[in-house]
Amino acid sequence: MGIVFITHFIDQVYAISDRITVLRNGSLIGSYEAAQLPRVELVARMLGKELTEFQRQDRPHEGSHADDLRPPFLKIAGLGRSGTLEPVDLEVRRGEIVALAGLLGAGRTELAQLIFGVIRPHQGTVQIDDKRVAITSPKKAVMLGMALCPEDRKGQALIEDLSVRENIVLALKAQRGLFGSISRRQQEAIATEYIRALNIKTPSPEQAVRFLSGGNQQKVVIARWLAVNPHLLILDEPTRGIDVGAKAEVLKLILDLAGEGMSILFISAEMEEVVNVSDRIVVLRDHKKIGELASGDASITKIMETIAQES
Amino acid sequence: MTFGRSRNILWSLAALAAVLLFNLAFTPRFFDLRMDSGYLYGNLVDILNRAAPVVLTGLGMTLVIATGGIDLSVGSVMAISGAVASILITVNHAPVAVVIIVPLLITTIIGLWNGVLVAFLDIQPFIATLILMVSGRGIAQLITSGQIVIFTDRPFQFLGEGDFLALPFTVTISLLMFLVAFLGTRTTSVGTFIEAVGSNPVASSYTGIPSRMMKLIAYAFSGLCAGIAGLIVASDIRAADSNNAGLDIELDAILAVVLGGTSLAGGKFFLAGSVIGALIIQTLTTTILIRDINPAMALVVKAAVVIGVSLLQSSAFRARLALIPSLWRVRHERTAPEVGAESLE
Repeated sequence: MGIVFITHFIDQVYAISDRITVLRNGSLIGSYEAAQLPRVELVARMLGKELTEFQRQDRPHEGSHADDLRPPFLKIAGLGRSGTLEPVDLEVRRGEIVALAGLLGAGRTELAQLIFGVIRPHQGTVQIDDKRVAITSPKKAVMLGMALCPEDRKGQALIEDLSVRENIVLALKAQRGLFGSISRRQQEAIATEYIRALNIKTPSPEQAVRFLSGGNQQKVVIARWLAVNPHLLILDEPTRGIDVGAKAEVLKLILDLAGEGMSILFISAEMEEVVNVSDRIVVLRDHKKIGELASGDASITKIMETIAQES
Repeated sequence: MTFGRSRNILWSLAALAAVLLFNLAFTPRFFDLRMDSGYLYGNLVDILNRAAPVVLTGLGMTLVIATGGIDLSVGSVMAISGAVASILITVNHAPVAVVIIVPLLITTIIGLWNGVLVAFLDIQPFIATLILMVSGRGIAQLITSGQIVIFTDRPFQFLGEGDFLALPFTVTISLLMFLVAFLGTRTTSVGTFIEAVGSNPVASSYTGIPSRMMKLIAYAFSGLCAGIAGLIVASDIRAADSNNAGLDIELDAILAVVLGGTSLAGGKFFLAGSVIGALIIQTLTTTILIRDINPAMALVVKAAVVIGVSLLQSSAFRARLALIPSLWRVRHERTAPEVGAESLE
């Protein structure tokens, strides 16, 4: 009997299949004999990069702001949820950019959701500024100084019926509660400030946010969180589906924010971004943390080798 | 008060104007007003007066619909409100403040109950409020022992029959509740949160908005509004008629909200629009009554107007309407018809 087996678990692929067909972003990348395709090559094809292309990559940002003496803002130990994510240890220091790398379905988004209280962990502890906390809802996470720009912009972040202004001040309003109102003039000032600071292209703050381009919508979501001045900003695929210019702006913004002392947890499938931006890279595979690379010796090849290594 | 992006309100206003213009042209003496011992009388005053129950239930319904829900129980809640008031008057001989406050407390709690079913037990709003729509009249009958309780209580009767500033007191009540709803939602974050929850519940929860609280507030307010409407109706007829008080009013309230430009899908809401919607419905009803149209016909006329206004509010429909001339031209110039078909997308 012929069997078509669909998975992104690399171990399973090599354990059972004779031939491997790689699909990415809705197009066929190629079919290969399993025995003749090294694991690193498979990962490279899944990510859409040639191995040689990576080795030439240089790390542009030298002045790493990772400082091991800085106190950790977020410290999680053994945080996990059965069926979703095996227990993970992770630290994010103040002003540090930690990236979560891995293939699609590796559990990066799930880890972000566990930290932010979107889904509840079954085990493990979370410490913020060395104090143990229970994050039972996003609201709680927001109150503790965290912010999450989720992967699914339309489904999980934007309120499409509302204007750019209303979207930008929404988290601030949520933080202040029902009656901690913000005057219309203050709202306009905040919206205008972030529209200028993040270079959001909109005819007016009153434009309904659904009419903006993907990149500008993403900036609106980021602005929403910057307005509450969080200690930790979790960005899940902030550059997906936005144009190249906006991408570069978002990445620069991430570096600037970290420079100002904000901790960043950065999730991206784009390996260059991960390597270029982050101070430390946590590699996930098959719902498990499998390694951690410090900024010094991180390269795309290293990440791919880590993902490809036999478990 | 800004109507900035609420283009739809203009369409509701246009519809109201159209109905009034029709009367100006075809119904003699429709706009006649006369002053008698300090009070205004006339069809327009009558419309404002009679519209009060739909205006009130429509205000509550607006917030509920904005959260993405619906409240079918408002008619039954009106009956309960009137029933409680009538017993307080006839059995307990309670002072007027009690006769007003106790029923409103009860109906607000009933609204909260609906909110709990929807927000905490995740029951679909249609079903959750259907429970009370069906059982509410039974409860009202239990309260009045199945009787129509007739009463005389002059201070209480002022609610439905009294006049204030030359107009029926019901107009003041409607206006007051509109202001409560408008200021309560627009000078606080309540309005934005309700719109956020109705527009995208997932994103709202990711942003830290208390979605359950917003639903509780909306349903409780709907209960309060229905309670007030119930008191007005009971006071007006000086009796609690559990079988007929507020019968089918949930449909008019929903219509008023939709005519006012608020989408049944939830999200942005327009309180002023709902008030206009209620006035459209009442103007239609009054027109039909004084023009002596067969009451069976009346419902058909209402339906036709509602379809018309709803179509005009649909931007998709307006876009297609705007295309008709060009389509017609395309066909008559015998050019490729699929070009026209494509531009419909």
